Amino acid sequence: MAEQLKDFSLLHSDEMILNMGPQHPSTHGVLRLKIHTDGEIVSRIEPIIGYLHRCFEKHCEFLTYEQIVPFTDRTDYLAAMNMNDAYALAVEKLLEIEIPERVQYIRVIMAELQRIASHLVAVGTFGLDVGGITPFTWTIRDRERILDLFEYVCGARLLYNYIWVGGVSHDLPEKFIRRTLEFLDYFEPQIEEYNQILTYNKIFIERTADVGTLTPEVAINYGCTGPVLRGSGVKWDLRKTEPYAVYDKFDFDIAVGDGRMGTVGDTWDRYFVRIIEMKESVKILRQALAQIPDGDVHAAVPKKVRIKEGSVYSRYESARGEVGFYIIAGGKDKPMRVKMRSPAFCNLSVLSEIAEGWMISDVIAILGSLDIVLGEIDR
Amino acid sequence: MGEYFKNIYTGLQSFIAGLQLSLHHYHSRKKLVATLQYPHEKWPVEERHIGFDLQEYNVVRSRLHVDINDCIGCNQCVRACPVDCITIESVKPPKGSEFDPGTTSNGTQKRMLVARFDIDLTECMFCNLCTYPCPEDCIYMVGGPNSAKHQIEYEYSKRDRKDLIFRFANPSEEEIIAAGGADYLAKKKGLPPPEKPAAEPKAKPKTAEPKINYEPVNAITDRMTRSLAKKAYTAAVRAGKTASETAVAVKQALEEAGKYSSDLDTVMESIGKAELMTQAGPAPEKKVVEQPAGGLDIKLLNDLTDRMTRGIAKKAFMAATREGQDAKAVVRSIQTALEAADKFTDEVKAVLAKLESPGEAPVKPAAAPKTAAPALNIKVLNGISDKMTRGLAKKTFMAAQRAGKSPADIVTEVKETLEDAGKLTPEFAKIIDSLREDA
Repeated sequence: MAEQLKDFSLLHSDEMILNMGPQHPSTHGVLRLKIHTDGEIVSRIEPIIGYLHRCFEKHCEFLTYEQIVPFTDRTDYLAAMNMNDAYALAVEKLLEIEIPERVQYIRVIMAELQRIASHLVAVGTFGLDVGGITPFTWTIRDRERILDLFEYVCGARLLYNYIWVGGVSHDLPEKFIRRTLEFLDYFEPQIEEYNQILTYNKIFIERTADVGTLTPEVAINYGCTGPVLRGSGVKWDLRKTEPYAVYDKFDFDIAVGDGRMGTVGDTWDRYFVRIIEMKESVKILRQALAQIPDGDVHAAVPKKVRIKEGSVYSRYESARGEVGFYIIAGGKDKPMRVKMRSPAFCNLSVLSEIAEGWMISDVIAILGSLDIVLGEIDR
Repeated sequence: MGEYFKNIYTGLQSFIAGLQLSLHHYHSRKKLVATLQYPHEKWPVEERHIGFDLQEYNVVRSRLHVDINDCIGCNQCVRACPVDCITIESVKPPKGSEFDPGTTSNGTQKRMLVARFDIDLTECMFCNLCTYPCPEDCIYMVGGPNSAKHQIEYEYSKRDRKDLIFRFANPSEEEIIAAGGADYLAKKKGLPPPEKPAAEPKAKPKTAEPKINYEPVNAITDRMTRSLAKKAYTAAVRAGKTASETAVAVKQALEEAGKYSSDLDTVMESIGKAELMTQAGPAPEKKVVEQPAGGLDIKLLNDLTDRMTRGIAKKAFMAATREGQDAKAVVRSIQTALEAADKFTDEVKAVLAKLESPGEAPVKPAAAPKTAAPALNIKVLNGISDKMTRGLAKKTFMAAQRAGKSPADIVTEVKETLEDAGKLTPEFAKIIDSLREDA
């Protein structure tokens, strides 16, 4: 088992600063890590971000409320549906409009499919980071089927602009429910395969269990959310603790890390939470597909969004954690200010804390378990 | 020790489990194949039922397409686009033109000729927002609502980025000119706008057209009644009725509306006598613009700091000038107006004094250079072939002109500057000298 070095005085030598990224394949995008090392032991990490900064928040001030939706796609491009949904939820809260139930169900279905797709990338690339290439090809293969479903619904595979303020752009196509159920039937056994080849692999466990333990206190102090927080054993999922849309109608569990392979909150736990979450999402999807009512998806779409003065903060559980949108309306068709709380940003901030004392190769594993998306961190 | 062997055992176990899975996939590879030999193989379109199941599904966002014959140039898609990748320019035929832009396939009569409809697909972010507001459904992602009409083509890859700017509207120059877009065409080519033969005949009938004389009707004090009377009056005059007939018509209209009273008898009488049409002279408001009373400059009133005061003063000024009062009378009327509003302060007094004495009214300094050096044409300098020299010469020219120097001074100054920079060749000197000759 890998060991964390607690006492640096024993082995003190000169500090070396190692630059990792922004073109490093394991930094999942354009992230640069300035790693202060003592030999091969990491003493401090400074993440340097901003390589993908596109002024999303400032840009929003020049766009109408509807036009912002495609830009939210581009923040978290691995969970674009979730971002659409989170933004739409915030504006609807500000508009105080009632959303038809069918739209709510469609959104839940899309959000859960997207969650699975995002976790598949997280799981696959995490395997890739610690040296397993096969799981990556498998997860990407299965993610492709979800993207096919999205393309079937709205015509886009990555950046959808599907969820609108007050509705969705298209109703579900005829065969969508059948095809999604087919996919779920195909997908559920696949999770077992991932477990077999990656999760319970001895080498994988050696690399991840007990490494980079994040205690619940530290996680809460740093504002970690999503699977990173739940990996530390904190039962906090906005879908359950603060249900929005129709999540209160579904029966599912909050996946939490239990320290099965080592201590609670280690890298393996954070990884495994995502595997369980995919199973829970399948559960939600089956219920939602069975219950989905009929209705007009465009019934509540406002012709022109124009909001009187006011502000709102709305939170949403995306694949990476709590996405928050704080919108100040200025009485025009454009918002005065949009602030986005990025979950991956807060999750990344904890990296230095949990990677301290571990080796450089462990940093890769720890960073992979945080599942960051730079598009969302930099916005 | 026990743990050591246990570790080896579990390690082997997971190793074998992984190999087993790989072997399993190896055998069933035909069923689970996920990759395609892309350029040689493509996803079978029909099997995936994209864009064919339901016509209204706007699936497959490969490229924006425009049925330009259906486009009415309403600019709705331009407004919807978050990245401004659509450019529409349209030419509206002037009134009375015989040009027919045609109708759309929905049967809507087009009002203008779409002269330019460019979509820059390098900027497009495929959000599909432009397709929804289109009233004629003529802009859509290929594979969209009109997919039955058009074949889906997936790969819109191009060898050059320039090819990704799609120009949908390609009207011929004759067509644009026929639609009254000669100006537009000239602007596009960077030429000065052509002489407008159409403008003059347009202006002439305006002045020649006899105007309806509303003076007798304006004598009615009640607003409602007056507007009713005016309506009837206009209709009657247009119908070519005589004065007395018009009076009867107006009276009848007012009676029907229950607005007629005996007070209006005199008005009706005056209508009966009035000359219904007057030959329109110069517009009355024109007088004010051309000849501010006594050469007074309303801009001097801008010196007043208080907004209310300024407004009242300006209002009084305008009213007085419109009546054609002389300078003193204007100032006095401003003063009385301000006194009535209790706004007459020392500051106002000073400003009014300035207004009254024309000697102090400064001649606009900005106007001076314009009159001083209009004779020189900067375009002559374009003859200088060297870019650097040309820039320097133009810069100096502009600076000198702005400073209000005489043409001769400007020329010598330009020359001097170039000489200092070591750029003055005899050839250029000639060109600069020709500045004056040209003038």
